[in-house]
Amino acid sequence: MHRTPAAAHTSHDELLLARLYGNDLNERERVRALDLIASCRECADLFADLGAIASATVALPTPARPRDFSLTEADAARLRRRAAGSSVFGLIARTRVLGRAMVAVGLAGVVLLGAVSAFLPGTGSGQQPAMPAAAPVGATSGPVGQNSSDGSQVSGPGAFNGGAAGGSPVAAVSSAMPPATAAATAAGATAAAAGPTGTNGLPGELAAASGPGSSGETAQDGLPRAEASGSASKSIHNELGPASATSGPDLRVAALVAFGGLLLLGLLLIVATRISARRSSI
Amino acid sequence: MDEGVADGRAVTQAKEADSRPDGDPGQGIDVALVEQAVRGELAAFNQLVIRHQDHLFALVYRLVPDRDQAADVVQEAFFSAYRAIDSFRGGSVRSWLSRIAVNAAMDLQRARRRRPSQPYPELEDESWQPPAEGIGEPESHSLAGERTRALSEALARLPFEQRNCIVLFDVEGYDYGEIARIMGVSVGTVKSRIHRGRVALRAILEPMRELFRD
Repeated sequence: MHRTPAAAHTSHDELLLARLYGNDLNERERVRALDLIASCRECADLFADLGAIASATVALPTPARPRDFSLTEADAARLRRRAAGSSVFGLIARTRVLGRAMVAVGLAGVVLLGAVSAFLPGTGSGQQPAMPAAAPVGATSGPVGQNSSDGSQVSGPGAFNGGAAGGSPVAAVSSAMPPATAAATAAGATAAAAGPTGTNGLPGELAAASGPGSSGETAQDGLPRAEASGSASKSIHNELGPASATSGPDLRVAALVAFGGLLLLGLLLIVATRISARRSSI
Repeated sequence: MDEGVADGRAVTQAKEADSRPDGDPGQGIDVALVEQAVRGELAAFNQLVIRHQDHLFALVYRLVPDRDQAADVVQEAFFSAYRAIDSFRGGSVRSWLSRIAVNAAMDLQRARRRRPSQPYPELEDESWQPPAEGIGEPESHSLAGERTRALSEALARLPFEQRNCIVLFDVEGYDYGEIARIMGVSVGTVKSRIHRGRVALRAILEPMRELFRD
């Protein structure tokens, strides 16, 4: 029989021989494997060794078991308690999944609302700096805009805008915002807007109201807008009236509260399930 | 409890006569004992323990070659079986218990891989010798002991996934599909682990190959 030199064995597929031993070859591979065994002494030795090792593994003795593994009554009682606990644990696990889902939805909602407020045109205060500070106020009034007492046009819902009450430069341009901007901003900034002036009249409106095209850094009288507000803001506010309170902000606030509540509830569920799981595992 | 065990034995003897399904002669008895255990009879469950503890210890010892740890794994497996006795859905009780024991052994192996300590203290313990395989020539007895030690060490050096597959295939006689189900991997993975494990085992034992030749 022809034998290949031992050096050639290094290129032979040992795994193929192991697969032959495990009866895991197709016909073509089987022929190749048998050919290797017939032609290569090393391969033949390997195949013989695989068989010998497998036989020795089967015959491998094990030491006598060190103890009896029967359960005592105490073991059984403990395990029954644990089994009951594990069914409770299953319920807890499902509750935890629900909690996680609620947190995910709540968080997504809050983030989405925040993103909408911040990035969508005309909704967020984040857009305000990009607005032209000296935009012609009279030309930018919203649909519910009304003429102020001095004749300059004041934006409708935008009149409630202002974000930073008390004389923020940004507030000066709020009258130049489209209504949507003002509406969205109002949702987040109404509380702030009620600050220094004590009314909802904000510097933005004041600047707009103080004279045609006077939406610059200060009011026409040269005073800081917050100081320039005075009764003018009140009068503007009064003029705008309920028309400026659109339902958009209310919806957003409601959604924010709902998502926030969902988030909180989910967190509570997760914490509660963790605590009860810890207790049941003790 | 002793009384309960005695009752269990009586049941065992009664059932043994009329239940001899193919493949596993004790299967009928096992199923009857499981049914009793489900009804809360601890004695019946302990009969199952008595029937299978030697086999399970031998199996686990090959997967976790440390007597104490293997014993703990077997005990834990019986605890798990008792807790989950309701979930037994027929088939071979022996296979069901083996599966639980293999899973418990794999849990231990994974934990040990995460927190490596002394891998196999049993093999370091010179005082321990495998049980005698029978009375024979002192020379052959010594050879058998040497072979056992070499093979145990070689098996211990294999990745536990390969070792488990080889033990389940060669020693337990499971087929590829059953091992795949037990280990939660594909049949192809099981085959690959067995074949690679065999080649690796042979490479480790090559310097001592004379020990394995008759």
